[in-house]
Amino acid sequence: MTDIPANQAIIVVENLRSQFGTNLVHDDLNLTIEKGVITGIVGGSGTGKSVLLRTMTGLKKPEAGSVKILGVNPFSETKGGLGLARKWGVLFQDGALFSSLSVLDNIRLPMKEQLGIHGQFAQELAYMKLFLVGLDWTVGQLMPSELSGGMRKRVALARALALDPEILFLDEPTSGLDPIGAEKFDELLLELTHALGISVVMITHDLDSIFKICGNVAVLADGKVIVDGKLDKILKFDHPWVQEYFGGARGRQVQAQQQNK
Amino acid sequence: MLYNCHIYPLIQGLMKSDLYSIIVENNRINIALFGRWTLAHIGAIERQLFKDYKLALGRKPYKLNVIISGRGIDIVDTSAVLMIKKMQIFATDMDVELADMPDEFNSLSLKLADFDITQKHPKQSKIRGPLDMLEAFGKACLRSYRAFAETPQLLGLFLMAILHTLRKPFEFRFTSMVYHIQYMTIPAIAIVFAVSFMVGAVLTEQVAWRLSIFGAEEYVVGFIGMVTTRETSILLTGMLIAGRSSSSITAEIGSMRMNEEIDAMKVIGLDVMRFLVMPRVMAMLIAFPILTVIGIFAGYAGSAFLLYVRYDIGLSVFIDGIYDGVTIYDIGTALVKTPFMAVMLVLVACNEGMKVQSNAASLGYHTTVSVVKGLFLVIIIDAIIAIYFTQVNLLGS
Ligand SMILES: Nc1ncnc2c1ncn2[C@@H]1O[C@H](COP(=O)(O)OP(=O)(O)O)[C@@H](O)[C@H]1O
Ligand SMILES: [Mg+2]
Repeated sequence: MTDIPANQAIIVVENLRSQFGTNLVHDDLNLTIEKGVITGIVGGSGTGKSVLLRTMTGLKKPEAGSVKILGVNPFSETKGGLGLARKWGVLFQDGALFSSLSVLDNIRLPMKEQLGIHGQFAQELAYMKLFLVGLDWTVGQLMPSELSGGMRKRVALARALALDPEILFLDEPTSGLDPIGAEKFDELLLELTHALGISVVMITHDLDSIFKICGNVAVLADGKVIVDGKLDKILKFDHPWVQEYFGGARGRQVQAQQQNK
Repeated sequence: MLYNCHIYPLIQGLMKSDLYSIIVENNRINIALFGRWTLAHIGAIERQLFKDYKLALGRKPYKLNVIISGRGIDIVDTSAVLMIKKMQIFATDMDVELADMPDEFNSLSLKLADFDITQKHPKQSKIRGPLDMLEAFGKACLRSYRAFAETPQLLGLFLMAILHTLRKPFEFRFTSMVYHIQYMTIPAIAIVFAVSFMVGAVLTEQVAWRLSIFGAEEYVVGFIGMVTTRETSILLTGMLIAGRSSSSITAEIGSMRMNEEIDAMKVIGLDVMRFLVMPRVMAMLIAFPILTVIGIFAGYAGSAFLLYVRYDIGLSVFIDGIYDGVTIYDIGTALVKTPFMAVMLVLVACNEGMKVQSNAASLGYHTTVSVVKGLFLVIIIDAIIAIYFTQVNLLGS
């Protein structure tokens, strides 16, 4: 949907340093993310995946280095990157739905506030997003506290898709879902990104997701992206964490399953 | 098509905007779409497009062909699909033909093929009639009654917790209590002092000015000293505590509820009453009298300050006046109210916190209720005890 052709860089992170006090989380991190691909970011717990996502979405200022999303720096913009807010959707780990708004109002909010779309058209659009994420229209009247975990994620996805973004950021979208729910969510993501032509940046721990839907994978360790690219390249990469993660019993099992399909 | 032109000379027409043009000719409506058919752009022209579209359709008394051509479209998103769907549905019993739509559009509409916009969705806004208001009033009455009725239950639970603490004193969370004492007292000192000082000064001015007409302004000291000690200081301190501590206790416990921390405590086997409520109650039992005493002396200070500045009554005269007018019993009547207020304020605040549900609005609601109930309790308890003492003539006359 952008004027940037497929397989061009939509996100460029250069020499990024992130630091909390003396805790150096990222040190000279470089990462380029292609358009039209689902990119999975993996890494051990505490390696700074969430911090990287917060940096890319302009919620945290980097201590050094630069981040460019669609050629724009998410921090330098005066209005907190409002221009970008129309072009990205963010799915937070626990959904972060607005608890005092109904599901429908949660989805309508960005349309109303960003584009001034309201009334019947907004309502129809919101129901359409609910349909897209596979939820019944009756869910629209519920409050966030009345939803199950899987439904919350779907509603959050619908809200993230409200403005038909070009980039979708997801923080562990399938964590906390049962395997069947997670698989369905993966399928949904794959279908939607194909149909809508969205580029996805996804933090995940889920080997199933990585093998099934990620076109590219970036591995975070020691404050850097130690390797990124297609899965075959990652699997061959010689690093203890990578080998343990993908080569462990669980990793081999998933790989075998994927090959059988 | 001569017929048309004669009878409907206005049919030939052209409506145009950045994103579409509608050309009406004979029995066909040609709609050409161009540019960026994305939400941001469609949102701006949606109403106009439908107005034009309705106008174009409305002019024809017989079956029409509508042809929508997407040749000029640069990019599309899902909102474009919704628009086209709406246009198709709108033109009932007419043939709507799509031509040259971009591939992206086709794959999106495939995905949305089963989406039914004509589904009757419930209306959201409710109209409030007089009956609804009556119902709301009745519900509010019931709520007040329940709020009143739950007080004995709260006190009962609290007594149980006290008994438990007496039996097993080592289980009392002493550190937590010290933390809360500090948190309830130290940041509050300045505001309690300032408010009591000012009210003391203002009261003194009001009374002294009237007494000075009779040249009797010296008597103001004993009078003000007594009122400050027995009533104003405790009321002001109580209200400030209701504003500061009730709200913070409710918000704290309420957000713990939202975060499922309270549930976590329960399954770990921690008694919420003992773990959260007791330390706060105990802390308040200590903080409240401290702040009250500070309030009393701040009131004196305000009064003395005003008398010195405005009526030239010196500090030694003021101190003598206080010694004569205020007895230790007066301070006693004030301090004896504090434990009742302390216990009730904290219990109500904790109870409101426990009622918070998992949405932000409910946190705000219960915090408000906690403060309002707190203010009410301070005044009620003050009144009840004041009346009691005057009736039994117990502490001083
Ligand atoms: N707001 C914060 N303040 C201080 N340290 C933080 C903050 N957020 C994250 N960190 C630290 O950054 C590191 C990376 O955290 P995070 O990105 O959440 O890891 P993960 O890869 O598991 O998502 C951790 O060491 C964490 O302690
Ligand atoms: Mg994380």
